[in-house]
Amino acid sequence: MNMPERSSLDIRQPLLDSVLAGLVALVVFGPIVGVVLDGYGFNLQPARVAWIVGTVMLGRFLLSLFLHSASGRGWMQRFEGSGAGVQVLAPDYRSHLRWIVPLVLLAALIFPFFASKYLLTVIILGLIYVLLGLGLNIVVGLAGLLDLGYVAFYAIGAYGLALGYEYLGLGFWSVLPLAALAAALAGALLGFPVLRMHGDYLAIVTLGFGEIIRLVLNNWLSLTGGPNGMSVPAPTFLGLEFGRRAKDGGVPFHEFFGIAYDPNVKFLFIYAVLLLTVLLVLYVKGRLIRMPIGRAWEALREDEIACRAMGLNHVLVKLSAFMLGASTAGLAGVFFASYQGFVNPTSFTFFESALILAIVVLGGMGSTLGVVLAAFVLTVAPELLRSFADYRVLLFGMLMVLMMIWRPRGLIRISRRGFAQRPGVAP
Amino acid sequence: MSGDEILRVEHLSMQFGGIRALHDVSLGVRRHSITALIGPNGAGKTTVFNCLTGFYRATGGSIRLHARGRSTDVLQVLGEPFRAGDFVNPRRFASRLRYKLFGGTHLVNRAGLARTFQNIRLFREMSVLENLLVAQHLWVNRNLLAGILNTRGFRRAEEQALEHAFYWLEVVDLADCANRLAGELSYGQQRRLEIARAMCTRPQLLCLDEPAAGLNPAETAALSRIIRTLRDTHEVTVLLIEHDMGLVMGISDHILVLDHGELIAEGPPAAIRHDPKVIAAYLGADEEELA
Repeated sequence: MNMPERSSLDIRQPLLDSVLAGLVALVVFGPIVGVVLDGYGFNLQPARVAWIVGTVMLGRFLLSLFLHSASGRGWMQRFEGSGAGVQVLAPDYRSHLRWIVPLVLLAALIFPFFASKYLLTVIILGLIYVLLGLGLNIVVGLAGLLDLGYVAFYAIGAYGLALGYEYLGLGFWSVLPLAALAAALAGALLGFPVLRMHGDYLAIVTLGFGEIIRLVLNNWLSLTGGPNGMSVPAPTFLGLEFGRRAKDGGVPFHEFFGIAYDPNVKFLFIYAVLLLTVLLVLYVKGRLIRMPIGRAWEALREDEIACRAMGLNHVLVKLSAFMLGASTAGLAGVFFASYQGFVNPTSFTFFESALILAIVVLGGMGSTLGVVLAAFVLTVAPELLRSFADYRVLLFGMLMVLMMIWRPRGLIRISRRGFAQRPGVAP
Repeated sequence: MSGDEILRVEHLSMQFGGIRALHDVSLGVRRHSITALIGPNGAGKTTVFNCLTGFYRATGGSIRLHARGRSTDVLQVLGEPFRAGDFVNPRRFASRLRYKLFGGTHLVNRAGLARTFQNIRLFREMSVLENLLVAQHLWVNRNLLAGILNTRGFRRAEEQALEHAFYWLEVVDLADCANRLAGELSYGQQRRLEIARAMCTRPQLLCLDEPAAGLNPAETAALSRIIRTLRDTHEVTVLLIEHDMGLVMGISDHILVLDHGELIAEGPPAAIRHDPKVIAAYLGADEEELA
């Protein structure tokens, strides 16, 4: 494909683009930036508007010029080409991840020895969202059930630890499996009546469920302490506590091992357990999508009627996706509670559900690697860019719009497993 | 004779609000036969199909499927409303409750009936092989623990499922498309894949809803070969809806003709071809001629 007219760069189109962008910028920024309120009057600030519009026009001109050049076209094609959905891998395909994963694991192992406490807590938060993203990915990405109240299961996990400690004297380790079970049970209770609904209706019911849990936590003062929240015990290692002094006569961790007291150790411990849990969940999820149940989830997302005609009980298939997704959120909730040392209902608002959903959408529906990356991008990046905190949601929105344009199917292209040809055997 | 029937439908009626789609349809499908259901557009063929396969709950009549060594009442497994008598008979009550909670279309498939769809319903974003693996859901190792630990038994079951999938792909001549996405196959290939997928559920009665729609003559010929192979070497009974009269007359042993929701004729192809009622239904007839 040679293009003879490429030699003379067409300058008209970029100029036109930049004038149009300038006009739009004038309309958008003119009133906002150019008119500054001063008591009951206002000052006009034409210079500021001129600067902004000028920058926009220059930027648009350069972008347009670049996109009209040969290399720019290549870029555009790469972007557009990669948006095309799903591919089936060759049977003997081996992912490059087999080199990258050990390196990442190694980095994850040595990282806590060099990280500050702040960085450690940020990474813990990131890992918690990885768990949440993986769980919701089962429900939304694989089974195709839009769940807007996912945070309810997260809350059940977190409050499970707080309430279990307060009323039953349970600790981190006993609550960890119990919370997963409780969340799965809540998922089943919610799921059984509502999973006969489809699409938007399901989304609205789950949204309502999420709000109900939050409102109950907020208003049941005698049980949950309402908006004041509840304190959560620190985790223990084989019964050894990480505090400076152990409660009721125990031996704290640092005295037992004869090392100096370090408040970071608690977070190191949470990090280690969380990392193991995330790896376990990643492994289980990797297995699930190669198992009959994972295939059934995806088939259900593709065509529910065909699924029923294949003898799959669609209600049970949906329910299993819902329960497994919920139990993962329950696990994440326990980690979140012990990491914060305190829970209250403001951590479980709808915005949180939306954030988790954004992780799944950004990563690519059904893609495990994409979800891990997106979880870190959406939780760690805002922490590192604290100075832009005011623009967080704005950036978030822009990111989503860009995604919809260039990568409507998520960051990572979804690949399906290929199978080697083999001779058929009659059943 | 009825002992040799795989499907027996008695007085089937189906009503959508005020519209009577089917009225008192009684029909039987003989085992190992190829039976065709024909009729002009809007005659209710697909409605019959949806009732038989459990996608619609028939408003009256009975449908009994005699497959896999047992007899299944299609209306019962879909879950019927409770009747007054159920509340004094705990066993009947329990069975009704069970079918109400867990019953549904999938139980009809598990009773040995598989179907394809008029507008193809494949799992488009899954590979061809995965489509066939999903259909074998009931024959693979579904133990969660075995799957997560990837035990030897699990791997063997998966391997077997793959081998069966390849077998059916060879039957419908799609073996070289095994690792393509189902959605990117050509129309004719998708139709054949749907038949292979239905066969993967190991049915004894296969219901094909317009399998030749949109196929070219060569593909139609291949399709009729496939349907014959299924009947002759795999011992399935085939019930099909079709508009392509060449195909219908060529392969069916028995033809049922439906018009305006009623069965107007049935018999072997030669008899149907000359049946005045059938000709009238398709081509129209003068009022006095019919009377």
